[in-house]
Amino acid sequence: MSKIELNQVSFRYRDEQEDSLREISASMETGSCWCVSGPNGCGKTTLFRILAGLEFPTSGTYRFNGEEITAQKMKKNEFAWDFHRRVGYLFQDSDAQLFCSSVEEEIAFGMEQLGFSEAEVRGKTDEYLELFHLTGIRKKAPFHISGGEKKRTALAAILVTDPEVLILDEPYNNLDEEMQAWLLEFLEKLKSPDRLILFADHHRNSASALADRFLFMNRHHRVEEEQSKHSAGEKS
Amino acid sequence: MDPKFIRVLGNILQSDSVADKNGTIWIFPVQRLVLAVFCILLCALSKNAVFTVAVIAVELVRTALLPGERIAGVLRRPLLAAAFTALIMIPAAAMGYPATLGNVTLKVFESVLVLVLLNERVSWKDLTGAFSALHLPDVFVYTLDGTVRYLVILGRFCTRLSEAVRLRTFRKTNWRKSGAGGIMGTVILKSNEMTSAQYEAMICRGFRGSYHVSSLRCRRWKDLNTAGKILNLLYACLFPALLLFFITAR
Repeated sequence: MSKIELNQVSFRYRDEQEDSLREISASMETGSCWCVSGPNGCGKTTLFRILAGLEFPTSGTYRFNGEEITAQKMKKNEFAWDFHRRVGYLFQDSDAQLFCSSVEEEIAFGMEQLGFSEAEVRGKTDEYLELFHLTGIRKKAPFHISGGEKKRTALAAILVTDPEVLILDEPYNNLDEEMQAWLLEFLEKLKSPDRLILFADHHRNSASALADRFLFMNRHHRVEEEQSKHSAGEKS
Repeated sequence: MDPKFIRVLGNILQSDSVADKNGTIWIFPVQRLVLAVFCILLCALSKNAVFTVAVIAVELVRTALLPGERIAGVLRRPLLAAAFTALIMIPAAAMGYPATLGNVTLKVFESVLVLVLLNERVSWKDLTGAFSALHLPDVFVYTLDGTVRYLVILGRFCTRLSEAVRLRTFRKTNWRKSGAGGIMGTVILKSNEMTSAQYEAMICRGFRGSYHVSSLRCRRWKDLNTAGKILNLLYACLFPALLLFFITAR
């Protein structure tokens, strides 16, 4: 069974004349890594927002683990909590994602909401601060740190709860070359048979090094799907 | 007074700012907060100026031990508050109660000085953590936190916008005036956008409607080393000492 199944999904923002997404279909399984690519304004972020349960298709269906995700279901606290526990979403704009008083609290927030014990929260926070090279700024307020540090904080805050599906909206934004290389390597390590990774990227080269499936979106929001060469080679 | 003694005192009082870096010696923010409130309360209850003057003397010594560049900043606010109070209290002196003018002005000076010094010593984050330790509702702490954060972020956004306006203003025109309205409108829209984005970010990370102050913000006794524990115990002794002095000074 597919982890994520999109069937003829279209979406139109309120007060808009045109669809932002039009009849998108895709089936995504765990263990795969998808790159959603396309020019600015083609609807990548809208698609990711639907996948993260923040927006809902105007027409068509979105199924997660075989269950249709609808606005009605997401209004139920338990259902929404369980869904968000499984799906980690990295916003394109890290500023919008960071809301706690310090970097360490930002990382701990998800765990505290999901009911981790205090010892676990402290232990994992220390571990992820170390992993993302954030220990030196752990007490700093997120709005006082640099763009790259914000991105790393947001990423650590998502990964610390170990979600089954990772949705990363342009994760390489605001990162210098060294950090981009580090992130690429890190995401490569995150790939596992139990996890589905989706990310948006403009740069075909970096994306092809990581992704094994591609979803191309154009300005008219038609979608083409392609298997990456290295993944096709592995299978054959 | 011997300058060496002043230096030693200074080092002791500076200990918590140094301590934050090594994380083993600090005074619980909740102790500082409660002592400050206690001090203000006792001053308000005191019937003569002895207690107030004594507290002011201690606080001024603490102020004198701050780095030079911060002293002016610390003293400016209580002096302004005292001057304003004295101005308002002039009619009392004119009606034959000059002692009231002096008492009230001193009390205002003391209260503001205590609060300003608390603000100097305790970060905003620790202060809201102390509110939480005092079992104030989490939503109250969250609102305080959020307000400060938004003030900073939107303030910065506003500054950037006005810089952009300034860069595009080549000569004095009315456009600059209309630009101010534009900035205000954009800031309001931005704050609205940020609020909904923050809610979405919280939802995505398991938020279910009830906010809890992070356990990481609450300082623990076991994180202190022996010197830190002794310092906190000594600090706790200030409460009965202050009360005893208040009773005798009455």
